[in-house]
Amino acid sequence: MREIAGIVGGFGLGLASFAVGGGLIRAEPSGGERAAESGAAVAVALAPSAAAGQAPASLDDRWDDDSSLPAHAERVASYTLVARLDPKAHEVEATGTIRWTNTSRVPQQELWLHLYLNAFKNERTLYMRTPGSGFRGGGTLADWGSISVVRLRARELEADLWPPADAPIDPLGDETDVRVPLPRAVAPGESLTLEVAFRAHLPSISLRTGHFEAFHMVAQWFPKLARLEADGRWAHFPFTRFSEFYADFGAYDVTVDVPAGFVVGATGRRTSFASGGGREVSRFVQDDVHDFAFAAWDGFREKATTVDGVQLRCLYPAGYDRAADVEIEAARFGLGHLGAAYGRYPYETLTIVHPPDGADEAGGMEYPTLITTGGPWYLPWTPVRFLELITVHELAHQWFYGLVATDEHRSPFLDEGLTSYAESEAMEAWYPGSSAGELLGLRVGVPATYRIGGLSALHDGTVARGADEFATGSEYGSLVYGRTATLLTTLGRTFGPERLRRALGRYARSQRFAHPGPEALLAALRESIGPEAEAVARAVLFDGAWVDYRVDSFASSRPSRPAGIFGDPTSPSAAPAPRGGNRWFGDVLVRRRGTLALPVEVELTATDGSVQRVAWDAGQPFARLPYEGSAALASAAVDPNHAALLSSDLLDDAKGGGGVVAPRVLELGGFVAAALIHAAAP
Amino acid sequence: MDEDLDETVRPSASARPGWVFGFYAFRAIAGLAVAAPLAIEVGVLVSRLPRGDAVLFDAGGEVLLDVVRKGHQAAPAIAAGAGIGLLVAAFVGLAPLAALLVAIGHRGALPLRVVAARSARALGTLSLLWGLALFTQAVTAALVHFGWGRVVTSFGWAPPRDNLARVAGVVVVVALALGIGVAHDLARVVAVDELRGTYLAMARAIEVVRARPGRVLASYAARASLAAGALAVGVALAARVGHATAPRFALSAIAHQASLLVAVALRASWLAAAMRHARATPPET
Ligand SMILES: [Zn+2]
Repeated sequence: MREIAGIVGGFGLGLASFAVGGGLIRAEPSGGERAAESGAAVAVALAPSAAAGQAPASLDDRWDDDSSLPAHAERVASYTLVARLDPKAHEVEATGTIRWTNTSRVPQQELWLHLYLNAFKNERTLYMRTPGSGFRGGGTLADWGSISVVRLRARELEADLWPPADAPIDPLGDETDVRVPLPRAVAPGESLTLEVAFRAHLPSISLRTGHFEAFHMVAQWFPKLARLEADGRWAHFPFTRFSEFYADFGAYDVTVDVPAGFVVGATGRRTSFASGGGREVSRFVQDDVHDFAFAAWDGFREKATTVDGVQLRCLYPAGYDRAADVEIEAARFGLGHLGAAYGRYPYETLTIVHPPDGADEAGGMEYPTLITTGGPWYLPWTPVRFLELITVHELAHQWFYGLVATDEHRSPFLDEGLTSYAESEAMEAWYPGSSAGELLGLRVGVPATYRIGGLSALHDGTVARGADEFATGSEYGSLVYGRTATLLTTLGRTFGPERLRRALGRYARSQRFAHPGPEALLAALRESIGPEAEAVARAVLFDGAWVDYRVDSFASSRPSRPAGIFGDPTSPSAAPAPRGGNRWFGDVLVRRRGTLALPVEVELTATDGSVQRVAWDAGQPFARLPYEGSAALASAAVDPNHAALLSSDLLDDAKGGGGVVAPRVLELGGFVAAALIHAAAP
Repeated sequence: MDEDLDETVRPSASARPGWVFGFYAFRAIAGLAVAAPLAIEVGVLVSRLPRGDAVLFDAGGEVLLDVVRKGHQAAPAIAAGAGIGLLVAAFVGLAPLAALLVAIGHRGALPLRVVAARSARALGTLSLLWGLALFTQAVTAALVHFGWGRVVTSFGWAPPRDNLARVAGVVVVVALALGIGVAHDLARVVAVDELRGTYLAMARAIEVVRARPGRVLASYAARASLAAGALAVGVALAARVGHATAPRFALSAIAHQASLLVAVALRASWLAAAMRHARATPPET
């Protein structure tokens, strides 16, 4: 998911969030060391690798290409549904079956069902009770949404499971997370066929789903089994404001029945189409996915093409043809670039939905083989590459969320953070140096925007938290998206982009169709880059480590002949020649604030233009770096290429500039002002 | 009419390159003055960096966004200062404009004292005309913008018809503003050249437009579009050259200033044409 308003509003620059999130930080079993004594640098210390949690298979070089990619996911929860949309009532009526297999090691006495649409049912739901500043879904609902299960029957158990035996879990009345007791335990390996019928009433469009006039974004719309972890624990949660989703893989076979004239974009491949009686019925089938969504509207225009065997379809409002072209180009680029980096895109279709004006809440969201973009029609003519960004971002989610199906509720940084990095890296490969936009010779890349976004939260905020453990939407966005993307960019620039690419490629390929936790990512960093990289990532993600460099002062001089009396005082000899001849000697005082000791280079420039680069491990809070050169020191700069992009202030990283007037700003600003005076024709 | 000036010549901007350049110089300096607070704010922010504000133009914009982040608290003050600065520059600019108009309307030696006296007599009228034109432009723009916006919304059109209707509204606003600008220029020319008061200058401007609408429009449109083109070329050239090194910075500045000079010269040429049109239209009163 990517915020639309934030990006259009100017490279995602936001005001700092002043909310204190300290009380919300969950003790995450990071498995590694958690040293965070004040002033102590934690990063370069080796983190013990005997981590609790998911220890992945060894990440050897067979994951450097696609030859070992698994072809299919394990079918755990498969849905066969027939859904009928009534766009006037904004309702979907559906019947079908859910085929579920207990793939855990533990017999199951219950099921957990997510009824996400009930988040929009009334003001008592957890979602409606949670203040939602700085994030999508903030508007008031013009129409409530809900889902009513009419029937839920376990065929093999010959038992009706609905209504469930117990009252809603939430005492205040939230009905999004429901426990369904079973009449007997279902053994490991045993399967159930659940016959289901339900009626979904879509809310006025809010937080990704709902209706706006005749446009319907039908998402999180069916009773959805929570994911059952291997240890027998159900990863279930109520619908919270900042949280996305988590589910098991399966095969989806969904028949969508809409009034004639409605164009449907959906997850999966359309295998049949029939019309009659004023209705049009399409059947969509997709294996190896964990969700299904569709958009239906009688106003859609359509463009279609094929990219490397993937049928690409873009549905968009009239007047958005240019936007659709841009989005298709972005998807074409993204499928190639992201596929090469994280493993080939395995599906036959990709559908892009650009929601109409007024339905922005449906935009910027990812579903299996279906992504939504958004933004006004004139975006292709602006200097900001918003449409490319949002398309590549949502497409990157096909890997980080879709194929690598992490728990979005518990570890949102594993999907949004990695996706933001993947977007950033891909966009920089496409438009180096100006991937976010370009105006009047000023070029802005996506990494810089994520860096600024990541700095708007508290400097020592932890990233690895559950989605419900952030105080505000801005804090969530800043840390989960911005800080994670900037961390990964920092790792790439510090330890080498190829090594990071290998680490993430191995992680994504080896975890395809799996549900890894943070430890799998950290292990990939450790094994492909080294323990230093893992330690940096762990410190930033779990301990809120931060860093800022500064050049405090520098000085240099040429030794002169020593003063004093030499030899016999009554007939002193000449003073000896100075040591070092004509060379200049001096030092540079550099400082590191913060708890992250990231090694950097320091650039020393002399008045004769000669440049020296020295490495500084930044292990201590300050260091005096010696200088010897052919001329006096003119300037010193820590990390001149911004490898440590996490650094919280780039403007104090150097010393040796001059002047208080920015001449280029004066020139450019003076020209713009003069042109404005000219245009106003006084 | 002053007896020591020759009024019989054909008004021409090209005959007065020095005065045109002076008018350009005023604008260039006024632009620098308006931009100075921003340049100082940014200059202080990047003062530690060895390459100074050249880093703002680096690919990636990492320092650029840090400057925006750290400077955003000063942004409202700088924006307000720049807005007021633009207004003041436009107002003060009426003096060199009047001088330019005096110069292009005459031939031969032009003592500064005479130009000053002549333009000073028109300054009050020019100020009033400027205020009236600005007010009319603002009111027209607001009326069309909000009124048309509501009308379009009430139609409930779907895109692209809705988009095109709104774009048409913007085009109409710009066209009206330019039309008012043309009438304003004619009135100013008359105010200086014929030493008319505010009301008579406006009446004469309307007279001229009604007498020869096609020729006035053609004179204006040709030069205004060429000037806009010159500015666009300047912007594109400078953006292409960049600001990374001192020579490139110098080249960019030259591209910008050259395009500004061309635009100002074209504007002077238009004012001379306006004066010719006014002189060719005998007063009805
Ligand atoms: Zn996202």
